[in-house]
Amino acid sequence: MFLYNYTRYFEWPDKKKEDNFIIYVVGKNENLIMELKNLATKKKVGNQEIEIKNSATFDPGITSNIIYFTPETAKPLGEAASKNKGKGTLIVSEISGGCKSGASINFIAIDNKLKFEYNKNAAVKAGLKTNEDFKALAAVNVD
Amino acid sequence: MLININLIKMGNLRHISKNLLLCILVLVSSGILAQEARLSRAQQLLKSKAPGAIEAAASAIDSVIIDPQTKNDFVAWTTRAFVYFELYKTSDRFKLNSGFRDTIIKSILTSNRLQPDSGYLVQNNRLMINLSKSYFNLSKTLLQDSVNEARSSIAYGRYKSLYLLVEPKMDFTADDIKYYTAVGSQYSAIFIKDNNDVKAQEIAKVALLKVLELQPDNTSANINMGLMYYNQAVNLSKSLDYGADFSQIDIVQENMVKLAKQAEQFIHKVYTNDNKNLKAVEALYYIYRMLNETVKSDDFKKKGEELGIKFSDQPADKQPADKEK
Repeated sequence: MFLYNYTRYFEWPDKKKEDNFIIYVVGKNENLIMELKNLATKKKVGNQEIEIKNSATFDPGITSNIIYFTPETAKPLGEAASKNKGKGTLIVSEISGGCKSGASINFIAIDNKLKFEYNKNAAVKAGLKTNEDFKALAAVNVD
Repeated sequence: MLININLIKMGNLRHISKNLLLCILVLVSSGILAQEARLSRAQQLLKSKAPGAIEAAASAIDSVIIDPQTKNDFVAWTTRAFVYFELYKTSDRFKLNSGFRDTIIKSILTSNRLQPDSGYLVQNNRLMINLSKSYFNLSKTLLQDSVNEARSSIAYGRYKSLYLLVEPKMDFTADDIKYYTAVGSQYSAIFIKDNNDVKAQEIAKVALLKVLELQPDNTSANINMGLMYYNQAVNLSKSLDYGADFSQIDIVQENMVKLAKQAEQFIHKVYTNDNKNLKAVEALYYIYRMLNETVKSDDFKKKGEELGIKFSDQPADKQPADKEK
């Protein structure tokens, strides 16, 4: 739900609007994959169909609109950020300090609830057009 | 002369009265004898296994207990209770409401009121306990086979009422725990299967809270209470539409956290008493995962794996969907 909601606050470059909207999950989380696949059958991003890709470890060859790193797979976060610089890929992670390691958005838990921190600069560097309202939604803004 | 005539008349009158009295005595005696014969006949028929004997015994004994000469005879009332018990056994044993059973109870109570001798009193009480226990069995059947808590609860209440007539100081704590645990398990399972079944959830909660009032550390009640709260939280998560915005997600998360924390209280009590309880360890892993307490969920995952639990990310009834992400 968070991942889908993020699509409302960013604009991807035209090149990334041509084919399917790809959400790439790095790591093993069958439950999440199933939920995302379910989402893909029900929702679109603009006119784009949603497609879910998954690999156990980060594969730099996979092109996507969003990369989500599960907590166990966040090591190549920096590598992913530098390889996707300017290419219009929103990097989302779930690790302590994720926004400082290259992710634009990082899940955090506050009062047992899932929230997120946001690094606008990282999103801009990734080639995404950002929405100012999004900053207000983040629990923490990392600049 | 006149005096003589009067004397003669008086003598006649006395003679007539004497005869009348004799007649009445004979009639009364023959009436009593007739009722005693009927009672004896009913008792013989009760022992007989011939077809129709019990029905005939019932007819005989019914006339004995309404006759003014024998209506206060405890033997007649106890006999009636046993005659009707035979009828009850053949057709009404599994009925919640049975006229035969009511007749037996009324007959036993009447017999006991007439101060029976110890032999009859023992028989009466045994029969009453027998009926009481059959209500207990019925309460179990109505719960497990018919899944009818309302009727089961009536049967259980009657079990206790009848038992108290024989043993007024009977302590039902152990039975209450057993019964309400069974109700709680049955209905929490129904709710976990179908989270929309609010009625089942309510029945389960009431029953399990009764158990916990009597036995705060009861494992089954604590586990079932915890799982119900947890599943309510899972259900909330599932109810979120994919198009929900952040504020809606936040409200749902808030409620999920409250429910998960309630679940944690119950399950953790079990874990504190038995840190190898598989259900508690497994449930705590999922609860802490829902609460986004990674360190604790990882810890319980490790403990669970050491105990042989195979955790899965696949959604199951007891597991949360990672829908928020």
